[in-house]
Amino acid sequence: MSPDETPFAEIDRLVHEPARLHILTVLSLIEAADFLFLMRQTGLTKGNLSSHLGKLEAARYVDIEKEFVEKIPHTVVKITSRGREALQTYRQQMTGVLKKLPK
Amino acid sequence: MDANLDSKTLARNLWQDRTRDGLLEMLLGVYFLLTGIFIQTNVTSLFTVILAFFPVIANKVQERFVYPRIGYMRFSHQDRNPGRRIVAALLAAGLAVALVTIFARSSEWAETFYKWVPLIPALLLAAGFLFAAQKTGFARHYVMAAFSLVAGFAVPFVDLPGRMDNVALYLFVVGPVFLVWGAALFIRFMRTHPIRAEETQ
Repeated sequence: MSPDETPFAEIDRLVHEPARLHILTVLSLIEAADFLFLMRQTGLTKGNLSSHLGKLEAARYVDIEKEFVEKIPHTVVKITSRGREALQTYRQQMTGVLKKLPK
Repeated sequence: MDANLDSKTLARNLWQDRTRDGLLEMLLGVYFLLTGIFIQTNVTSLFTVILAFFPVIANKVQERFVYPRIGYMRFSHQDRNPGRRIVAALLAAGLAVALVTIFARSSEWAETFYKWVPLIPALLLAAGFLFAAQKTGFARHYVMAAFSLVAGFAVPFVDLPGRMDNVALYLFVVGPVFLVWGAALFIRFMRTHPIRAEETQ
């Protein structure tokens, strides 16, 4: 059986990655957060967070708005409805897979 | 990275982050002290102006001191609804007090009513702090709920001549406590959370 034919093949790898799962979970609990807040909540470094947010934005799981507040750049991140759906699907798939595992 | 990914812990962390600065307690303290002063001096117009500007002041303080340290976050509509319910409850309580005050002005039980009026803000405060305690898990919110309630029950036993004196006394009791407690929390927050906004630009 090739890896693509296993029950795990349908799991969204973009969500499955722990750091991104953490980011999406935090964002799913709130309406919006800025870069600093997400850095503190997830414990990720600036570079790591930026990279993960870039991937989530490319998949349209998050919306990133950049604005200037008193000449200081400010990044506000929101989860999209597509991102919420992906997280929900991931939860259902993982629950289903884990339930079938032998004890 | 925090290994715990369950959403209840994450939600609690968010609420703790939002309330650890002590700003709410500090502003409540200022608000109660001002209200107490306005009740005693009958300067209600100034009170209304300050009341209207209070959310703006709170927002400015957060922008200046809190967000550069811990970042900015906005709760979802679902979590903001309880706040609206609290505001609605406060308005309902205010309306009830106003109506009872109008009708009770000439009746005999008016004195008893005015004596026990501090119980209304005490119950509202206790409910608010219990809600906060449930969300954050901070023991200090339980302590504040208990303190608000105990003060609300204790103040009516003080014999004061004026009708609104008991309410004013209640506000003068809880106001400074909240203010000092909030200020201590705020100072600690400022010391333990240096400005980090520059790191993220």
